[in-house]
Formats: sequence, C-alpha cells, structure tokens
Amino acid sequence: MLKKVILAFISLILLISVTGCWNYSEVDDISIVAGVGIDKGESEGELSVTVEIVDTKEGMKSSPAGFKILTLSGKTIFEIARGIISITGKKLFWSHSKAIVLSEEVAREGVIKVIDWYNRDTETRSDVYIFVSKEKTAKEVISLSSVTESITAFALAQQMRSEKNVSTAPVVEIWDFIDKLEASGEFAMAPLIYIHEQNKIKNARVSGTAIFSMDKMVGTISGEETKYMLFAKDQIQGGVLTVNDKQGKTAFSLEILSNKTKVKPVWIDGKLQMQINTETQVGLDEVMTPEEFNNINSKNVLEERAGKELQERILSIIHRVQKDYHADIFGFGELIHERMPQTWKKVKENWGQEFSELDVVVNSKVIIKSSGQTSRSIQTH
Amino acid sequence: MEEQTAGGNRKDSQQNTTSGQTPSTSLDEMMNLFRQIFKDDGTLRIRVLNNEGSEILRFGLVNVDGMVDKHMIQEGVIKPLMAFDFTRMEYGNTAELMEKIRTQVINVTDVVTSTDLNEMISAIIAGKTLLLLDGYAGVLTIGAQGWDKKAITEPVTEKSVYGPREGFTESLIVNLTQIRRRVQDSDLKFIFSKIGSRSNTQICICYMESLASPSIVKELQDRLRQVDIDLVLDTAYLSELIRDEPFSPFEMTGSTERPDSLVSKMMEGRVALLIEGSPYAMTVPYLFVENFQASSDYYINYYFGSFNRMLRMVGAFLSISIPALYVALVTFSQEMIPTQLLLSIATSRVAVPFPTVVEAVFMLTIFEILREAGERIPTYIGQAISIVGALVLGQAAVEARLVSAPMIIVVGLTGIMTLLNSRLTGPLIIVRALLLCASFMLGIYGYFLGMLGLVIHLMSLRSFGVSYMLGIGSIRPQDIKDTAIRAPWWHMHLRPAMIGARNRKRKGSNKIERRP
Amino acid sequence: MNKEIIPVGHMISVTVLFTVGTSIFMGLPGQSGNSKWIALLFAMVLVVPLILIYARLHVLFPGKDLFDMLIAVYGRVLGRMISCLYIWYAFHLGALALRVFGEFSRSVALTETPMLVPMLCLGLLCIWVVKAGIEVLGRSAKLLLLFTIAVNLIIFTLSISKLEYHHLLPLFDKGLQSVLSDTMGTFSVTFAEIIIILGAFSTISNKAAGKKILFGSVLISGMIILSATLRNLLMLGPEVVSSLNFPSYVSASRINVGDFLSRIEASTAVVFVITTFIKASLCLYVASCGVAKVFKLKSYRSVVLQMGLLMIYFADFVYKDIMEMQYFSYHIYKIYAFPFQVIIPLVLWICAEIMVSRSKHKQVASQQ
Repeated sequence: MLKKVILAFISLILLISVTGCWNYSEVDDISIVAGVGIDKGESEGELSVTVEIVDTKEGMKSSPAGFKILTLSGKTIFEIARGIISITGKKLFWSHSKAIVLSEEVAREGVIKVIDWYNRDTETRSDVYIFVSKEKTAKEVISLSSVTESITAFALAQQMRSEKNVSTAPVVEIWDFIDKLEASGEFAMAPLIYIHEQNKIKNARVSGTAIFSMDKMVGTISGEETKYMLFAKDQIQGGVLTVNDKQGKTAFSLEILSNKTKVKPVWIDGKLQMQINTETQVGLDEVMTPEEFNNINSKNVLEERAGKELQERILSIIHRVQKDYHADIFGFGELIHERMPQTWKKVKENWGQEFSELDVVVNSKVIIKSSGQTSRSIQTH
Repeated sequence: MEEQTAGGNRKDSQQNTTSGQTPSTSLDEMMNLFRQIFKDDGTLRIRVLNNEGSEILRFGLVNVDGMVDKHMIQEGVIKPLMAFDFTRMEYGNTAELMEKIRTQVINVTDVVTSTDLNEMISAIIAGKTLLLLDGYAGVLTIGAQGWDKKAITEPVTEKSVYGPREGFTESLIVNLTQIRRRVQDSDLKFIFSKIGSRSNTQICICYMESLASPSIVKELQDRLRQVDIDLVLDTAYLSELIRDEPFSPFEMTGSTERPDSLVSKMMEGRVALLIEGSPYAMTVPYLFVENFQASSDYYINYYFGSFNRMLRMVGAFLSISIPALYVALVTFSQEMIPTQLLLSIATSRVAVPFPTVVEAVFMLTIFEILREAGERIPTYIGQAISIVGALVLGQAAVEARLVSAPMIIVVGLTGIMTLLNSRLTGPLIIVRALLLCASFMLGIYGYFLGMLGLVIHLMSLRSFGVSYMLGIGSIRPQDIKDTAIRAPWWHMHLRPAMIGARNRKRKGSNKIERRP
Repeated sequence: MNKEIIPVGHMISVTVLFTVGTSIFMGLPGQSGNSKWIALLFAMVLVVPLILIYARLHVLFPGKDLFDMLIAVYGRVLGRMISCLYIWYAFHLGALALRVFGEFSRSVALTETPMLVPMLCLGLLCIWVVKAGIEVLGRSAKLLLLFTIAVNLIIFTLSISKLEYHHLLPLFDKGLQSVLSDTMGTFSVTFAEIIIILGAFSTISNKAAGKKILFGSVLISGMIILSATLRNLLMLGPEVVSSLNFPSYVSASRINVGDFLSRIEASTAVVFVITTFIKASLCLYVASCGVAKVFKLKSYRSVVLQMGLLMIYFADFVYKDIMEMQYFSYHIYKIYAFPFQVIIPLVLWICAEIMVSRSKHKQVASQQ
C-alpha cells in the first residue's frame, strides 16, 4: 500500500511538472487589449491594425489604468496580432476588448476578411461592439484619449450601453453583425463613429448608421434617420420624439417610454406589401410654445399629429434605403421567409432588387402617457 | 518465579508471577506475594488490622494509593471491622466468616468475594481494595475507588449558545450517567469490555436495542475484538484503528463531547463507544452530513438553524474552491473575470515577483502556521493576537509587494470558511491542496475534474456498511429534512433510512391544537 | 458483495447522463436547420419500439446482461464472437466520448495543452470510478444528474431574455427530407446508444425495472437535450448553429444579464465534463464486463485499468482533427451503429422469444 501511495505521489508530481505550463499565463504577462482599429495599410493589400492596450504599470495606485496605442501593418489580422508581441513583449489578450472600429475604406472593400479571425479564434470573444469610423482612419478614433474614462474603447462600450436612451445609432455586437451577414433576408449595419471637437477636447461621438450590402458598406444614414429606422425594426427602447406645432415649427419633445412595432407581409392585389404598425407610448417632456397644450382635447390632437409625423419619417427612411442602397437592413426578407416560406423561395435569389421595389405601408400610433410634473403649457399673460 | 526479563511484556511477566500460584491461607504469605508482584511500585499500600474484641482475627487491606476513597474505606471497612463484636457471631469456618463479614459488617455497596489471584491483581490495579483474612485463601474485593475527577463542565470544542451546557468528562461512569439521565428507557444498553493490552482501558458500547441495527453493533464488536494495541488514551485511537477506508482524509466515525448530541445520534440508530479517560464519545456509522450538523441547530428556530447549516456547507465548499478557482481564473481563464476586476488584479500583481500559484501556496501555508500557532497559545486571546498578526503581516507583505492584495483576500476568506467547519479542517486542507494542484495543471477544467474526483471519492466511502453520502443527491423530502436544512420537528417523522431502519417511525404527527 | 445491485433511480441517472452524453455540447446532427428539435422528438418516438425490445430482453433474461444473453442465445462460440463486437462498440463509443472532450479542450478550452492530457485526466477518473464499482457510479450519477439539471435550468433562465422565438419559423424550412435524415442521425447518436446500458443490466434485480429505467431515461434525457437544442436554436439562429462546433458553449457566451452575469461559458462546460465522464465510464464498465464474460474472468475489475488506458490512447488517434470527427459522427456513425443498435438486438429478441416459447412447450409436453 505504501508503495502505491509513493507511486501515486510520484506520478502526481510528474504530471504537474510535465503539464504545468501550457496554458498557464500570469495576468501581468499579458497585454489586455481594450479596442482595435482596422485601416488599410500603406501598400496594396495590406492591413494596418491599431490596438489600444491597457497599461497596468502606469496606474498602480489609482484605479483607472493608463493606455498604450500600437499600430502595425501586415497581410492578415492574425499575423499582425501575433506581430505586435514583438513590440510589447507580451502576448495580446483579446477577450476583454470592447470595441472594434473599421475605417470606412475597409468597410467599403468588404469586412469578411477582417472579422473572420475575430469570430473564429478562441482568444477573442464575440461580444465586442463594432463601429465604422466616419473619420479618415480608424486609428484616429481609437487613439483618442477620451475624457469620460481614460481608455477610449471602454468609453465607447459605456456609450453603447446607454445608447438606448438616445437611439441615434444601432447597438451592434460582432456576433450580431456576422449573423446578419449570414442571413439571407436581412442586411448588416453598424454604427458610425465621429470625432467631436469642442474647446480643443476631442471626443468620440456615435451617431448614424453604416449600411452594408453583403459584406460591403454601401452608404450611411444620419442619426436622426437611424432613430426611425430602429422604429421600423422594433429596436427602439428610448429616445426623444420631436413633434411640430401647427406652423410646422418643432415645439414638443416626447420621451419614448416604450414602443411596439409589428411588421406583417401581406398580399394585396397580387403584390407583396409590408405593413408596419407601430404603437409608441411616450411622456410629454417639453412644450416650447404657450399654446396648443391646455386640455384633454389638445392631447388627442397632439397624439394624432405625432403619429402622423412619425409615420411619415419612418416611411421616408425606408424609401431612402430602398432607393439608394437596395439593402434590406429592416429584416423584411427574414419576415417573409418566416411567414411565407413559399414566396420567399421565389424572391430569395434577387432579394436586393425585390426589396427596393417592395410596397411599404406604415401606420403609427402615439399614446401620451404622462405630461411630466405640469399638466399644461406655461401660460403667459 | 519473579524473574522480570528486561523489556519483556508486562503481561507475560505478570502471568509468570501468578501462574501456578494460588492464594494462600496465611495472611503474611499473601502480603509478601502482593509485595513481590508490585515490586518497585511505591503506591501499594498494605495495612494489617485487628478486631478489638477478638484478637485472633487478623485482617489485611491492600490497595493502591490515590485511587481509593480513603474516607469510605475508613468509615465503611476499617471502623466496622475493628468495632464489630465478632464474639456474638457464629461461624463454622473462615469462608463462612468471610461471607458474614461481607454481608453483615462492611458498609460499602460494592463488595465481591474473589479467590482468583489474577482477578485480585486487576482489582488492585483498578483501584479496588482487597480485604484479606488470615486463615482464608480468598479476599473480598471492595469497590471503593475514588480519585479526583474533573467536574462536569461545558464542552470546549462544541460550544453552543443555546441548549444544554453539560459536556462529557474523563470519567466513563459519569458519562454513562449523563446518558442514562437523558434516556430513561430499558432499551438503552451498555456493553462493557476492556481494550489495550497494557492500559486495560474500560470501554463501553452504548446503543438503543430496538433502534440500532444489530449488524452494526456486531460489526463494531468484531472490529474492536481485532484491535491489538497496548495503550488507548482516547476514542480517536480506536476510531483510527477500526474505521473504514483508512486512507481517506475524511473522518469515518463521529466524535462528540456533548451528551445531548450523542443521545440524539443514538436515537437515530447509531451506536456509541465511550472510553474511560476521554470526554469524547465515538459514534458509528458516520455520515458526511454530520460534519455540518451542530447541536445548536436543533435548539434554535428552524429557519435560522437551517440557514446556519447551509452557511457551513457553503463555507466548506468555498474553502476548498476559492484558492483553486482564483488560480484557475487568474492564470488560465482571464476572460471569465469582469474587465474592471481583471484590471485591478493586474495592477495589484505588477511587481509581485512570484507566480500566482506560488503566492497561493505560500500564503495558505502561512495561514495554517498561524492557525496552528493560535491553537498552541493557551488562551483565546492567542487567536485574536494571531489574527491581528496575520493582518499586520498581510498588510506588510502587500506593501512590500511580496504578495498581491487579492491573494490576501482569497486566503483570508478561505481561512474563515475553514474555521466555520472545525470538524472538517483536516480534510479540507488536503482537498484544497489537491484542487489547487488540479487547477494549476488544467485551469478551471482541472478544477472541474478535481471536484469530480472528490465526488467519486466521497461516493465510494462507506462507514460500517452505510454509504457515507447517504441522503445526498436525493430529492425525496424525507431525506433532505435533516441534511441540507434542519426541518421543523413536526416534519421529521422518520429516522434516517439505513441507520434507523429497524424502527423508522420517530414520533407521531404532532398535530398540536393551538387555540388562540 | 460479489453481485452489485443498484437502485432504479441510480440506474436512470446513469442512463440519462449517458444518453445526454456529448450531444448537449456538440449539438445534434443538423441539416434540418430550425427543425432540429422536431427531428429530436421524432427520434424519441422512434426509439420507443426499440426500448420495448430491450425491456423485453430484460424480462426474458432477468439478472443477466447483454453478454450473458448473447452467449445464452447464440451459443458459446457465436455468442462470444458477437460479444466481442459489442465490446468493440462500447470501447469505441467510450473513446469517441473522450475524444470529443479532447477536441473541446484543444479547440476551445485549453488551446495550448496537448489533447492527450485532459483526456488522460478524465480517463483516469473513469478508470477510478469503474474500479470502485457500478454502485459508486450510480450514486455519483444521481448527484451529478441533479447538478446537471440545475445548471441547465439556470442557463436556460438566464438566456430567456436573449431568446428570439422567430427563429423557429418557418417550420420544416429545409424540407421534410432533411428532418427525417436528422431523425435517423439523432436517433443513432443519442437514444439508440442505450443498447450499451443493456450491458449493465445484471445490476438491476427487478424484472419490471427495465422498462421503467429505459422509458424514464429516454424521457428525461430527451427533455434535457431538447432544452439545450431549443436554447441554442433560439439564441443563435439556425445558420449560426450549423457553423459552430460547440454551439452550447457559444450560446452560453452570449448570456449577459445586466452586464454582471456574463462570461459564464466556461462554467457551463462543467455539464459537458460530467456527461462525458459518465458516458465514458459506462462504456468502460460495459467493455470491461464484456471482456470478463468472454474470457471467463472472475471479476471485471482486473481489466479495467488496461481497457481504460487503451481507450484513452485509442481516443488520441481515432480521428485526425475535429472536422473528421464531425463528419464521422454526423454522417457515418448512423450507418456504422445501426447493426449494433437495431439489427443484432432485434435478431436476439426474436431468437430469445422462440427459445423461451419452445422451452415452455417442452415443459407443457413433459407435464402432460
């Protein structure tokens, strides 16, 4: 028995000493990547990757850590990712990165070649936010030292988490993006990112949407348009809805409390039609005119006008995307696929074209749930 | 005849002394005999006395000093013997006289006639007093033992705020009294025997006849019979000798110094073993859950009792898991740590020269050293001092960048979790170390595999034919009632299966009418 | 103590974990896209006649295991030969389970560690538990099954907010043909593997228990696999699921409750470790029992270590890479396993019925 114990002990020690160090890595031996920017390289066919690395050395006493920006060019992303080790001396650790920024140039050329590695490799995680830089390069964005937090990528992630209160840009994680690339009835999109300069302090600002057809970016829509696009996609969770007064001047702000959008494909006169019904519950937050909001009747009028305006705006953005980009970012194709599989088989092949000719009807309803702390507009005498 | 071979077994030599010897009728010869047997034993006291009336009657008293109640001998034996008027007594021979002395003269409860020399010797050793009569080849064994005993005190290791405060003492008979006082039922059986070839320690197997499984009682007796050891000081000696799975770090027999918890265990069909000289009683069979049951659970509100018990279970789990998981997460699966936490761990590990594993082993060892030191310091202040020492030491170590701050937290938590389960301290240390090794090899998967191994090991254990993990992994309400939680008494109708199988019904439904 | 008897509950636990096996992590063979779960239900129905046959075999030969039955029906030589085939089947199946774990650790969990190491660790645990006996395996399985179900429930609850029910539409998207093909695949990689459990049937005493065990475990394991399949499908969508090697792992990585409960995929892998462990252990047990029966050994325990080590090494070289593994388990396995799962038991059952009715006739005749 003693012999057995000794043998077991020896084999245990052997096992430890032999296996000990394969996947073992200390936290201080890795460079934690916070964000990535991908640009075109200087020479043809090359890519240039900028990584923002959390620098743990700097912030030893205070909690917000510093950052380092590194750029390297190469033929493939993975080659660059490994190549950066020769600069940092430490292995890059990707699974905590929060943002991946593509330059517009790269996005227009096709994104599969730059994001496949991110999706495939096990070092990375697919819950990173994807952006398209509206500036010239992605590097500019990723190298910003933001004011909210010292690390740009973490600040961007924070912005995306609170994005639902603004709804001027879609929130897209990379897995979602790839899902859309793979799906035949829905096209991918990504939020746009700008540099907002004020008092010489530069900030990243996320607003607007880049629209992709297949894996290539084909165009952009503005932040305001994005909001109505999100209405059509039933992805609105908050934000502000402005309504004009009788004269056509913007006079009311409604805060979106909740929204429900139902999209239904129907056959009407041998033509496919998408019927979009939205029902939005809002709170009245701002009245910029002394008139027009005094009694229960005026509330109904306001609701009606808001519904009508919303309807028009949604329809206009759908028409614009149909006309300009032929890219079904609304997922109408997927809906047809689900509800009318037989029809889908016919239109699938040429969906981009079919989409741009699709008949769309929008019907919006706005319900004012509350009027804040006051029940009427400020009266002047 | 009285040769004593150097280093020879005492038992053999004793047999040498007495073999072939028969008690003599002459008092002087007997005295010499005892003097020779107890040669070089300064505690032997021999006293000769006469009756004041009839001078021819010569008595001898033999005993060992310090183990006899002198007052009782004086009042119950010497005084009557001296003062009794033997002239009024009629007797034929000395044997008859001796019998009459036993029945009419001596004022002590426990008096037995004995003619066997070996019996006499062991009676002397046990603290009894021999009364010899000149002209009679036998003795009266007078059970007037008495020595200084510790009073019944509060148990040290199983303190409880609520419930009875009595603990077992070092005296077997006092302990049995405590049991008997709690269970006044003729079902309660005490089987005495002796163990230890030199110490001749008295042990007592104690059980409820209609509840305990006869096979367990028999198994315990069989195993005890096979024990061959010269000295037994505590039930722990026996426990280690007769336990199942000798190589498992887990305790396979229960041990308690609380009469109340011992009695409640016997009521579930367990068999107890008590031993002279130790306040710890052993119970078999022992189940894993008993490690987490404390008697105070039953004396307080059942919600709170269940909560405390779950805390103990979680504590045991965490105390083996925390270091292993920390190492696995920090050195293998950094992606599992939330980003902010990872950053703060990374910053605190900057400039720490040792790898995380070394750090962990180092700090855990230091903690164990402090724990052991705290146990050695006699007073309870010692523990407080050691904890303060640990904190100061930890603080200094962090500031000197010898260890990282999170590691101090990990080790501190682990330590506190271990202290939650005093009964499991030993096994937990071993399991923790093994899991740490596993984590070091294969990260979190190593930890999973290690836990799997722990489950297999625990599941393969048996204590006296009963599965160690009885009731764990069961979803029958009856099995959970006294394991994970402490159910209210009116729900515990049945005794645990397998142990109390003979008579499972514990009590009635207790539907007590409550009038507002 | 020679003959180990385990309670019905324990046997069900072993069988459930065995049946769930690797499919909880690997996912099911899927050409049918979002109708996979229908294929799973079909497979559950399809397995009913099969387990009726298995249960009947147990009634005909109470207290005997598969190898005893084979030898009793086919005679010493032929019975032993077929037993050898089943030993191979159990051995191979155990090796495949280990290999799946190895592939998982190589491609996802421990990318730099040689695959043999985690397989060796798991394999040694299997050897340990099989040596300790089927009773220990049963007791462990009971606890582990509860744990598995709990973890599955927790994951499911956490992922509810991420489920997108429209992924289920349209039904039979890829056509009925592919659903039927998947049914066969699902049938063979999950439920029909229950034939292995017949090799451990000597450990249950009760005649009627066979049916209870088989039906109970198919039902429970069906529920577990169904919940995992639906979760993956609804969270990821059919397109993504089809491209993933370990869909459950990815779907767990998508869980994010309030930015706090996230990054839990590695913890969910514990379920996978457990089911693989039980599957490989049972295969090892049955293979060792078979060897003991064929070579008339006193106890199967003497060959466990050897068989186990062989199994681990075999697992190391059975496939070249993960793509080969998937091809085998999704396309070839159903053909390879068909004789073991259906044909031989069917023939065995028919022969056994004939034998039993003949002997009854003889008894009646002799009584007359």
